[in-house]
Amino acid sequence: MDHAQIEENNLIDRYVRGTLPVDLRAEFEEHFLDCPDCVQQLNLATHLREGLRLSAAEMAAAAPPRDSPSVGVRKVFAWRWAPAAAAAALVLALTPSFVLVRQLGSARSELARNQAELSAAHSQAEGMEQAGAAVYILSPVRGEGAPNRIAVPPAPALTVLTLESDFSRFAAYRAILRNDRGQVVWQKDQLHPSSPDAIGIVLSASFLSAPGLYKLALDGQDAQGRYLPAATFSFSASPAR
Amino acid sequence: MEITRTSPADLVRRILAGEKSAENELVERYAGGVRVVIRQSAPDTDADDIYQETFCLVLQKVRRGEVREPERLSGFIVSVARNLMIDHFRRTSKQQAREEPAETAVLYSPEPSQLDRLLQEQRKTLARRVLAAMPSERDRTVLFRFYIADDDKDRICEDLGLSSTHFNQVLCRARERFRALLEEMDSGKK
Repeated sequence: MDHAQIEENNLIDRYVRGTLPVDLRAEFEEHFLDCPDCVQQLNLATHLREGLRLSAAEMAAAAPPRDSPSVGVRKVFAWRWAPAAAAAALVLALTPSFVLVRQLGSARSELARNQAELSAAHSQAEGMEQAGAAVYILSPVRGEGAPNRIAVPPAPALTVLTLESDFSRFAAYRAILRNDRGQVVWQKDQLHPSSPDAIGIVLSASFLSAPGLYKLALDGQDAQGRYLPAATFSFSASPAR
Repeated sequence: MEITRTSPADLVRRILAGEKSAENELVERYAGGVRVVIRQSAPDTDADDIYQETFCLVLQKVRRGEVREPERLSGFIVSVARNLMIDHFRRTSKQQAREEPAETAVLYSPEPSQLDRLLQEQRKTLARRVLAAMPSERDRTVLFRFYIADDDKDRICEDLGLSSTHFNQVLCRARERFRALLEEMDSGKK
């Protein structure tokens, strides 16, 4: 195994995502165990992925509070969501800056870094806006009622779902999205609540490309690793106009 | 000038000859990779325990001459680590089955340590800066869809009209930017 092959087949990122076939994974592990360059790239990819996911989950959870409509879902168009995301990102950005500034002990560094963080936060929010991300807040299904409706932006845009329920019982959750025929269209393990009552997930709009009813089941993972039902969300998806 | 590394077979030979420095060299050389394997396969376990056990067992086996193909020392170390992880999971599940599940659940604390929280904050901040530095909306979308939405590479390339090479370059550039920011942050602390 050589580095051209690793780069060409995108082995670093596929390994980090856990999507390499068993034999290829074993071969790659045997290579990188004695390859400091690959170990460095694997660490960078892992931490970058973690940073992006944590950031996206927090931003999704920081979408506007549940004070208005009585309906369980509220659409926040990208142009409305961007300032909220920027504000959330700004608060997050300032905290680590403060820690760093104390370490550096320099008021000038504080100003420069905060400005850079602020600029980065705005750019990210603008990026999400340009990418056409739409945020929806979903409440769990209780009894029979009209399903929540969401308008799916055209692919390749993103759909951010903020799921509101009591997520304080488990440390990690599994989400399974099924279409109206009961087929699994998307699944994700190891989701961590961004607050005791919210989990943010980001879906490529292409997963919701078929109009119809969808059910999103959240199962909590207990200390023994078993998954137990935690909440179910249902919504009807249709293409955005 | 290129630094020539000792071949794995030579490392094994020196350990068999009783050279202590060769044992330290083995641990230093393979430590980073073993940590990656453990983190990837068993993210929620006590990685330090498995890490220590791996090197203890590897060194014992090397000293006893149990490495059949010294040139493939990496593969040997990975298999030892994997077996220990499997063993760890078996022991943990048996232990949990014997204990009172309810009490275990109460004692279980999912909270990350303060250091973990600090590192998470740092990674979030840097990830946002990496995004902000991406040259185009399309590149940002690649990162979002690949790392956050877990979309397939082929699907992303098709949707965005990207070649496989361009896709790889976007991820590679993002990692490099992340590395540069980490180094910048580290040098600021010194």
